[in-house]
Formats: sequence, C-alpha cells, structure tokens
Amino acid sequence: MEPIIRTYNLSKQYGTHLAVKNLNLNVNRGDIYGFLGRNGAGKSTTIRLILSLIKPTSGYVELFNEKPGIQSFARIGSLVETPGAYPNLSIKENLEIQRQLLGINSPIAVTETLDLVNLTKDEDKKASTLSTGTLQRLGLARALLHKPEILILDEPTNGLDPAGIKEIRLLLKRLSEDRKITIFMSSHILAEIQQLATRIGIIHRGELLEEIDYEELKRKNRTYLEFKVSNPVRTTWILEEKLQIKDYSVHEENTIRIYSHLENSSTINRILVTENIDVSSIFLNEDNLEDHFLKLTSEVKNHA
Amino acid sequence: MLRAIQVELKKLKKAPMIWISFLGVSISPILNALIFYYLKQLFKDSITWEAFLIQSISFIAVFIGILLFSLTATYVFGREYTENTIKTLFTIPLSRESIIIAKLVILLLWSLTLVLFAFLITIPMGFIIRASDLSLTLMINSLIQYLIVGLMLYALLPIVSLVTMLTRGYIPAMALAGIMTMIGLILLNSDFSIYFPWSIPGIYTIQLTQGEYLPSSSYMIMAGTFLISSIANLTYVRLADIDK
Ligand SMILES: Nc1ncnc2c1ncn2[C@@H]1O[C@H](COP(=O)(O)OP(=O)(O)OP(=O)(O)O)[C@@H](O)[C@H]1O
Ligand SMILES: [Mg+2]
Repeated sequence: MEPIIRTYNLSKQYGTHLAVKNLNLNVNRGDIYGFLGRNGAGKSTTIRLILSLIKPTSGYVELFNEKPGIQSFARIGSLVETPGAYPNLSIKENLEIQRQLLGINSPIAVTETLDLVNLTKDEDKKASTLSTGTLQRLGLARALLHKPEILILDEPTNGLDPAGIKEIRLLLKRLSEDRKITIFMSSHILAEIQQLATRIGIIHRGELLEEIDYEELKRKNRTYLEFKVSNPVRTTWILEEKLQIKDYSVHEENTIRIYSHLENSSTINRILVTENIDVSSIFLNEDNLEDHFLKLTSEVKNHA
Repeated sequence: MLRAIQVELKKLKKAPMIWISFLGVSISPILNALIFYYLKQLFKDSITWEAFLIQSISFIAVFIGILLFSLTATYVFGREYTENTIKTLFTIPLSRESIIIAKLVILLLWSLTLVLFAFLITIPMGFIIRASDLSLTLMINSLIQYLIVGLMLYALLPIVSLVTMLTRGYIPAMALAGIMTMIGLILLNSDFSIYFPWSIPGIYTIQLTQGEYLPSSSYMIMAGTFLISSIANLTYVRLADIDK
C-alpha cells in the first residue's frame, strides 16, 4: 500500500474556532476514500488544506510522499465546494482555458473529457445559462482534464438529481477501475459513500473519529450475537465442533460474536451451558452503518 | 507565464466589460469635440490641433480615467472571486504570483489600448471641427502624451486589485477609486497635486495645456506607487488563504 495523501496533526483555526483538529489522514493509492461528516464538520476545510488553498495553523500535508508544491497540481484534479466557471464563455471554452493553464497541448483532451462526463451535446452552451447539475459536471470535467492520479472532490453530487448522482457514481467507479485513479471524496450522505468507498474516514467537529476500510467497517457493523462466556477458547471449540459455526470472532473481555445462526440463540446458549460454559450475557446487535455513523457523531457531541 | 497571459486574454472574450470600457473612454473625445465645436461657434476662433488633442485626454486624466480604469482592474481580479474560479486558478501547476503578474500585464495592455483608442477617435473629431496647425511631430508627441496618461492611470491599478482581492468584490475597490478621484480633483488646485498619485495624471495634462511639465519627482512617485502596490499584490497572494 502506497500512501498518497497523508496529513500529520493537521489543524486549522478560525478565530477561536478549531475547524480541523489534529487530523491524521491516510489515503493509499487506489483507494476510493469516503470522507464522511455532517454539515460543518470540517470536510471542506480539510480539502482546502490538502490542496494548499489555505495554510494550516499547525501540522502538515504530504502528497505522493513529499511536501506539496505547485507541481503536485499536475497530478491532482479537484473540485471544491460550488464549482465556478466563466459565465461569458461556453462549456468548451471554459475547458479550453483549463487545458491551456495546465499546459496540455492536445485539444483532444477537451473533447474526450466532455464525452466522459456526458457534456458533449451541451459544449457550446454558455456557462451563465447552466443548471447547478451541469455546472457540477463541468467542474468534474475540469478536474479530470489532465488525467490526474488523484481526484479530490468535495461533495461531488451536490445539486445533481438521482439519475445524475448515479451517473457520477458509475463514472467514479469506472475511473477507479480503469485508470486506477485514487479518489478522495467528501460527503455528508452515508448512503452515497457506502456505495462507492473502499475506505472511510469519519470527521466530526474537526476531529477524525474513525478511519477504516469499508469491508472492515461492514464486518464490524454486521448483525451479530454476542456471548459473554467464562471460557472463550473452549467455547470456540464447541461452536466449531458441535454447532458447525465458523463465522465468529473473539473479542476482549471474553466475548464472542457469532454472525450466523442468529435465530438459534437459545439453542446455542443451552449447548454452551451443558458443556459447562458460563454464559453471563447474550446480546443481539443490529446496528447498521447509518446507526454507527449517527452514534459516532452524536456521542462526541454529548461529551462536548 | 506566457500561458497565463494568453488565458487572461481569452477570458475576456465576449466580456461586457470590454465594451463598457471602450464606450467609457470614447465619451471624453466626443464630449470634447462638442465643447470645442460650441466654442468655435461662439467665438469664431480657430482651434489648434494641439489644444484639441490635449483637452481630449485631459478629460480622461482628470475625471473619468481613474474610475474607468479601476473598473477594468476590479473586473479582471474580482471575477475570479464572484465567479468562484479562484480555487481552480490556484490549483494548477503555475505559481499564484505568475497568475497575478499575468493579470497585471493584461491590465497594462488594456490600459494602453484604451488611451490609443481615445487617440484614434479624437483624430476624426479634429477633422470634423476643422482644427488647425496639424503636423506629424505634433501627432507623435500627442500620441506619446496619451500613452503616458495611460501608463499613469495604469500605475494606480495594483492598489485597486489589492483591495479587490482583500474584499473579494467590486464595490469597496470602486468606492476607493471614487474617493481618490474626488480627493484628486480637490487637490488639483493646490501645490500638492504634483505629489498625490491620483491627481498626477490630471495635473500632467493640465500643465501640458499651459506648456509646463511635471517635475521628475512626480514620475518617481507614480513609479513608486506602482512598484510598492504590485509587490503588495504578490505578497498578498502568496500568503492568502483561499477560503471562499
Ligand atoms: N473562512 C472561515 N472563517 C471562519 N470559519 C470558517 C471558515 N471556513 C469554515 N469555517 C468554519 O469551520 C467549520 C468547518 O467548516 P467546513 O466548511 O470545513 O465544513 P464542511 O464539513 O465542509 O460542511 P458542509 O457539509 O456544510 O460543507 C464550520 O464551523 C465553519 O463555520
Ligand atoms: Mg463543505
């Protein structure tokens, strides 16, 4: 795993308000990193810090394993909050401007990218006449124009309708698979991240609460039966040999989680007891990711 | 750098501000011609080309120039904020400084084009009202004077661009230009006018009509104003947080 974006105790203070606190992000090459947080959590601030648009109060950022400089921008495409465009120019002309600024000689880059984001038929429309969704697409096109290695997107589906959201999702998936682009995207909608991300970071009130591979998060948040037992080693033996249960995990404080046979909790309990295992508690966990997210972000709120 | 300058030119395509500025700068020669025409009717005097040409640019230097040129500057800089493009502009492999320099170069070209345009439409007006004593040297000298006024008005623009960037909008910068025009006008009758950057372009043309010339200190003040404010622009963008 090659780290591609890393932040080290990154903080940004506005007045007395810490918008981002000691953030340590790790994004690896190939990740689709979902940066999840409620409104005002510090997502856009973090993205601006990563892009050197604002300067950190403390801490620092590394891109491609080095200190970022303007040359890093040749390898990064980004879309930060409301996308802008020159209203007097057409979609195509706006992209032409970007092409020249990036020093790309071939004009084909523009037509290819227009095609990629499905804007070819609208290429001559003036930017002043565009809907939010189309502007968002133009912003995405601008970010993709130079075939970047990293795509940094701040709430990329803002203003899009459900069909548009799906289209962007499929596009991002394709970019990740075909071009092996690393995608760092923020969102406040879990469902959106869930359908795409391979790794998730949850930010709340400027703090990174959790950073985890999506598969692991799913595993952690599966429905399971949790037994608290006197002898976990023997219990696992019983589970495997007597009950043919293989899908379980052992945790601290003598707890064992079972992910299958959930409906048979009383049978499992009875057999454990007959095998001289003390079961001090049984508990069915039915958290889903939504609950997990809400729990994480509200627990901290109560402490604050 | 060249790239950035070309791009700045492209961005102005079909921009309404282009037409506004050219329209604005032509008001003065047209008004000037009308006044001279009226005077000619009144006094049956013949009008010299020399007086006519200087008067035409003098209107610009004294009254509308600062506001009009400031409008172009605040447009070139302010649009990146109002059109939400600044974050795109500052996430490309070009330094922020070079982007600002490109904008200042474009403003220089724009400023010189505007005075050149004023010169070009003053000429036919002069023929229409039948001004007298035309010579090639006069034309060349006058053209140089127009360009000097253009440069002087341009030298005031980095202050406008700095205020535009600091406030991320047009209004404070234009208010500043308005106030400075007023102060410049008030000072025009004082000895201090040759030292105040916003009255120097005006007093330069007024003195020309009287066959006088500015002291070199005035030129140095203009150059100093330009240099210091340009450096302030570059320092600002290097340090600025782009959090909008
Ligand atoms: N320029 C600024 N000056 C002062 N406070 C700011 C500034 N920018 C952001 N903040 C504050 O920092 C916090 C984080 O803002 P940020 O925009 O990063 O949140 P976000 O997660 O992107 O939210 P949203 O989902 O609404 O886009 C907020 O409380 C916000 O008010
Ligand atoms: Mg945001």
